[in-house]
Amino acid sequence: MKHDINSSLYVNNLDWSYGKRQILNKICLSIDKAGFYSIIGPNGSGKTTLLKNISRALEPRQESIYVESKDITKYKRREISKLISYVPQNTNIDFDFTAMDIVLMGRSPYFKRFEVEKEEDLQIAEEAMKSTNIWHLRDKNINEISGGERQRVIIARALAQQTKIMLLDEPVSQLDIHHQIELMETIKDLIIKRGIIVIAVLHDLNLAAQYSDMIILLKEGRILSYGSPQTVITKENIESVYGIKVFIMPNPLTSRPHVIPLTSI
Amino acid sequence: MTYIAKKQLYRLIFAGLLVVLAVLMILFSTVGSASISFGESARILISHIPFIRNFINAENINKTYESIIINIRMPRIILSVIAGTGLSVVGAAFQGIFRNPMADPYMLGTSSGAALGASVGIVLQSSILADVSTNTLSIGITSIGAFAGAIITTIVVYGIARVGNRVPTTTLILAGVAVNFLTSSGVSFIMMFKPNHMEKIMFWTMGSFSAGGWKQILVLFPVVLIGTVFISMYARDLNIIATGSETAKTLGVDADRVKKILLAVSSALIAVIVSFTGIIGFAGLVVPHIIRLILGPDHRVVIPFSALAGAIFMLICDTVARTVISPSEIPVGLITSLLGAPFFIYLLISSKKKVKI
Repeated sequence: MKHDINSSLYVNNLDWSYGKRQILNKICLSIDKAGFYSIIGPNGSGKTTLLKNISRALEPRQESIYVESKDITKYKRREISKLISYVPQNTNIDFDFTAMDIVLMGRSPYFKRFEVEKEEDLQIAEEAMKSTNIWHLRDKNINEISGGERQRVIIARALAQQTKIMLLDEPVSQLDIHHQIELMETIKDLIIKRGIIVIAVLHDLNLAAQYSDMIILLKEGRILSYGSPQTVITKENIESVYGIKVFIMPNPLTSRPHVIPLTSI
Repeated sequence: MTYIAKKQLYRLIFAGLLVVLAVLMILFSTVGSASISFGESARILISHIPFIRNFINAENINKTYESIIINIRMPRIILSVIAGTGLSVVGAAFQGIFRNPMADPYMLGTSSGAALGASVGIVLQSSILADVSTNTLSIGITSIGAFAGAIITTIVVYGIARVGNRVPTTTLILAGVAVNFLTSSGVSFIMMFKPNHMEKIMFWTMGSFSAGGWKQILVLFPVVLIGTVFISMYARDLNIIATGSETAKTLGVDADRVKKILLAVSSALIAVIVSFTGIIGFAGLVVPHIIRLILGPDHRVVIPFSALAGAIFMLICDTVARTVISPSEIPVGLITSLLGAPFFIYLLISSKKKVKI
């Protein structure tokens, strides 16, 4: 991989610890081209922490993450939220906002203190909701729709932020297989239409292999492998990271790798 | 329907409620042992407003009535309106900060700290300053004690809850509960050892506007006005914080910073109000909640409407408090609780399944 500070996203020797426990260890990563990038790895390997550092939900060390060639810690929070959007794993919302209210919150980085939504913002929100197929839910209470629908509302909010980079933390882990595929197709579609960079934490290796342009494999806070699904999803990599015996064969339809777990080692 | 689509409607309702408040203020100024008609009361009030007074006939106003309205009833009415506004706005802000509809302005121990400070003030005032008989000074000492107690308690609670740069809301609530018990037992101790002050302390902890005069208004009005405007500035940020602290950060809102600023402003506001009026419960919990039920959760709506509805609610409660068993009166805190507690219970029952902490 070309490691270039002028990439849209450039991570250089990123370390992160919670107290004394080191979670991320010298992560180096460059992402420049639009596409679907997935982060895989076992529980506790630092996937979510990496995502939170990039979104600045956690405060990374100086000079370890660069967005558009500028140190992420040097940006104002509002500026960063125009460049990077984030869809968290937990999409609980405490008050009974409507879906439309939530999506419009994505426009908030663009407002001054007492400014209110303009016609333009409503249009952007509408467009975002239509592209994730939730326009019909606009007046529904966010706490009274299904988990899959709520996930789409949050993704529409991220779209309304109109960022070049979108981060998704386990977007499909709580969805049934129909909604999983539907959501992945929607995301894929957005990447093609809008030319954005999507970085998603995924648990399902086959889903990652199917949809990713590039895969980042984490083990104990380090990047073990970064590349196309064919180069990352190999018998050696998966067995060493997950500690199980697997059989890997090319998917007969897409020729991408397909993982069949066998026994634990 | 979005916020801007409803904005005209909101403005209309707000204007309507303003008129209701003004009419109630005049109407309730006619209620009391001396019977003064609505028209006469309105005429007296208008004759005291600069510019507008030139348009009415200010002659043959009964001087006694004028004195009752201007010096006795109106200050008290205005004070209850201001306090109701402040308590409700802080309630709305706290419910937003703590992301919990059950939050109320006193949950950081402000009230019990104020009670302890006030109790010390009440005891001091009669023992050490026994020969100083001026009434204004004695009120002053109780108020100063209450204010100091409120501020110190809040700072202690905040200090306990703080983890480095952050203030986790759960720890904050727990610290508030713990310190509440501590200061309450302090008040009980004082009442035990100084039983002759017990009645005074108890009355203070139930809140009253009976000491209300223009002097208090002069302090309270600017404080509540500035506090309310300031908290309103963060209304949209509070909406975003409702989606979670970390998510808020990715939407450009530094949740920790906003929380700290709002906690500081709100606590100061509550401390000032409590030191003048004693502890008036439930208004700050119930009013924002009713507004949220009717008009939705958007803080850009909840905060201004809570301010107005809080004023109306407190005005009604205080009028009941001072007239029901006239010539003596019921502490206003009793009335707000009497009206607020059943609602709170209803709230608990109906939201048992939904509440998230």
